[in-house]
Amino acid sequence: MNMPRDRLGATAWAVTALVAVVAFVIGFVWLPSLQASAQGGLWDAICRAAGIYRPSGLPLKTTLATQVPTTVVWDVKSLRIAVSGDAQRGSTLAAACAGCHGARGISPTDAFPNLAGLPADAIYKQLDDYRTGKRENPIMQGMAASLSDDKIADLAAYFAALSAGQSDAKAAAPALVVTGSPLRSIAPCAACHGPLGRKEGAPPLHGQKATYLKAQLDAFAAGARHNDINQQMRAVARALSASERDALADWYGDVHHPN
Amino acid sequence: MLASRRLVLAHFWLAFATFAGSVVLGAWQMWARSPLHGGPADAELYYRAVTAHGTALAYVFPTLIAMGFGYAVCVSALDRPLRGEGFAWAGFVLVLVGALMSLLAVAAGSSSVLYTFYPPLTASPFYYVGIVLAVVGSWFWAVLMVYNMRAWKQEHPGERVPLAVFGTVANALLWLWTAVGAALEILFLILPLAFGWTTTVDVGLARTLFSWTLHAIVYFWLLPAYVAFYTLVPQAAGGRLYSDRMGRTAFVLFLVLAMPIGIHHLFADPHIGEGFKFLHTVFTAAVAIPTLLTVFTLTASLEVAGRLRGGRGLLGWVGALPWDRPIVLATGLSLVMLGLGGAGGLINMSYTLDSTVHNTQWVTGHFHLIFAGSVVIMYFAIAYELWPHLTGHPLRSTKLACLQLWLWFIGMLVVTLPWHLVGLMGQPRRMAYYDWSEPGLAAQGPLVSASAVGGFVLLLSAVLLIVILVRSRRGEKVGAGALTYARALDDGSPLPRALNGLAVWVGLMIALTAVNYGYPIAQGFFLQHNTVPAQTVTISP
Repeated sequence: MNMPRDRLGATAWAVTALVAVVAFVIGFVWLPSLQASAQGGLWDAICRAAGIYRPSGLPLKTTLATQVPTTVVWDVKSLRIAVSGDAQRGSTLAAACAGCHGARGISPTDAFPNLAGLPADAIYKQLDDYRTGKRENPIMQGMAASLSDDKIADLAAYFAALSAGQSDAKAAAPALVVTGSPLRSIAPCAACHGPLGRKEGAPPLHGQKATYLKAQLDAFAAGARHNDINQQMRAVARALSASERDALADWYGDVHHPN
Repeated sequence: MLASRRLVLAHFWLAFATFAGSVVLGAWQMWARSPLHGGPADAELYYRAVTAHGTALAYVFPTLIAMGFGYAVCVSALDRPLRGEGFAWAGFVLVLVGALMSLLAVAAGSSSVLYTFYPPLTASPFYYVGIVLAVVGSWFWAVLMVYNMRAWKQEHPGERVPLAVFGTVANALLWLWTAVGAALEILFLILPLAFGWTTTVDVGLARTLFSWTLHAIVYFWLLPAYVAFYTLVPQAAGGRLYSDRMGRTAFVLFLVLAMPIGIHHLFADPHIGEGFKFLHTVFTAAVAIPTLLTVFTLTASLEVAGRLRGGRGLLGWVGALPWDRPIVLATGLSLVMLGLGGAGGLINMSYTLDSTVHNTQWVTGHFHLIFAGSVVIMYFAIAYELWPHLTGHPLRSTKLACLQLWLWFIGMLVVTLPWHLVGLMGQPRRMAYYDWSEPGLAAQGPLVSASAVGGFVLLLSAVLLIVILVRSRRGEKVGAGALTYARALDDGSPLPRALNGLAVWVGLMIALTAVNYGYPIAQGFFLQHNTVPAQTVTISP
């Protein structure tokens, strides 16, 4: 500290500036360039580190497009289309569905879901997702490929008009159905899938095939099914244990059907 | 007897009255949300209490201590009457009126925004205007400190400014600059919202501006304790200050580095680029330097004292120190808490490690350990040291004072160590209640109960403090000698001119602020908009 009188201040400025410059180079240039997502040149890296969003014309667009989970976005227009179908016309088209989903929308085998009584918007969304390849299934993608918007709406109207299964006296609902698990950020199933409430596009699950429900929950958990627009089902399914997924499918699936 | 003693006493009494009331609220909060309470407390009352606790203990109590201690240092170390005592009283009245306005607004239930007042939560205008008045009152003090030092220097050319005054004025300048961030936030964003002139607010910009104040304000609270470390403690321990220049270096480093690092409070905020987060991490790491210098110098000074008192061997000097003197005991306890809290702080300030503890109870534990622990215990010691000079009565029972300090230390550890642990388990901070019937929280329950017990130990200690201070104003006046400060081992060596004034360092502080905050703030004002509707606090029916 036995420095000439006039040098200490200048030294302090120099040291501080040096620290700032080194920190700047590390924080704005070196670290951003190491990141896996690093794209573009040096200037892009600096801008990202400063918090500037720059549409840079990089392959970001195409990457995003393939990641879009579904093209069905519920707004006034799409909801109107989904419920605009004609059940009469739909009944003719549905002859092609009867083999797997049953003559009255109640599937004879556990592997295929019941469609009777599902809301039109729920059926519309799945058929559209099959058509656009957002939901993957070799049979259904083939079936849906040739359908127009109108025909999808007609089919949806037809299945919505059929009567669903009747609920039996049921076991008490699991906590996950009624309250979810707030600590694990799991919303209650019933808020979107009934019996408490319902969201556009989300099917009520009462009376669905337990086997089918299990398969879907597992597929969401593994990411094999990914047509939930905000990852809401994938996030929930991932947070559930395998036994919880089974228990939920069993509870929702425990229903008798008229036939 | 000290000049301006009525002024200093007024500050200390208002400070400790505010403090005692707030500790009652703090103990209640800890109990109300612990499993001991046996059910959820009234959440609205809880947040009211938290806001009052934080507002009083962050904005009013330490400000008044810094002001009162500053005046005492100014008149005793410069050995002449305070210039501008009328302004000093005006500042005191502003703080008093401002504190009353804010706390009444909180009590009325219209201002439960927590003391960080992050928008879009919006309190009653009374709350913010009260805070502004209190801060403006403290600016009176800051300006008076600078003015008194300058006047003294002009009349004593070539003489070195006493270290206690140098540290106090550094703190005054730090506070003047530190308060600017929140002042801008209140002026441009919050008051228009509170008065209803605007309906939306840029929350990103508000948080950026608040972070300008949020971290450096901690050093404004801390520096009075450091002034005591350097100038009162070595003398009370019976020794000399190891290095006067080291003290000055620490103070100017705080001045330069304390402020442009606040973005480490915004590591989880998306509107700040990660480059700036890194930059602030680097300078936050640098601010550990003046603290390490202080710990080194203080320890060396205590070793000098211990050896002068006959201590031998590697650590024998520790036992030879007069631990029955309150300020020496407080220093030892303070250093333990500073060490533990500082180690935790290294986790908070790390951009990558922070994510494990961000917004958990760990953070609450950290700042209570550092501020309410290591700093506030020195406030007690400062009061005990000044009291005979202010009242003319000796401190009644130093034993009781030592007991009070021990209780504060034990209580603070019992409060904050479990908080750190439950924070690591993921317990969020700022919660009015936890669902103790939830099995996932079972492991946290006993820890939270234990820390609530610590809260009542702290309350007991606070009551003892008031008892000691009141008792020591009774009985026969014996008078006290002049308040003096430790002489340094290097008093005779030359002092660089830059360490006898603060101009260089204020310039550096402003320049570094421009580098570290210029772009993020400009971005908020001119480029990005994170605007959302206001959320006014109202009392639920």
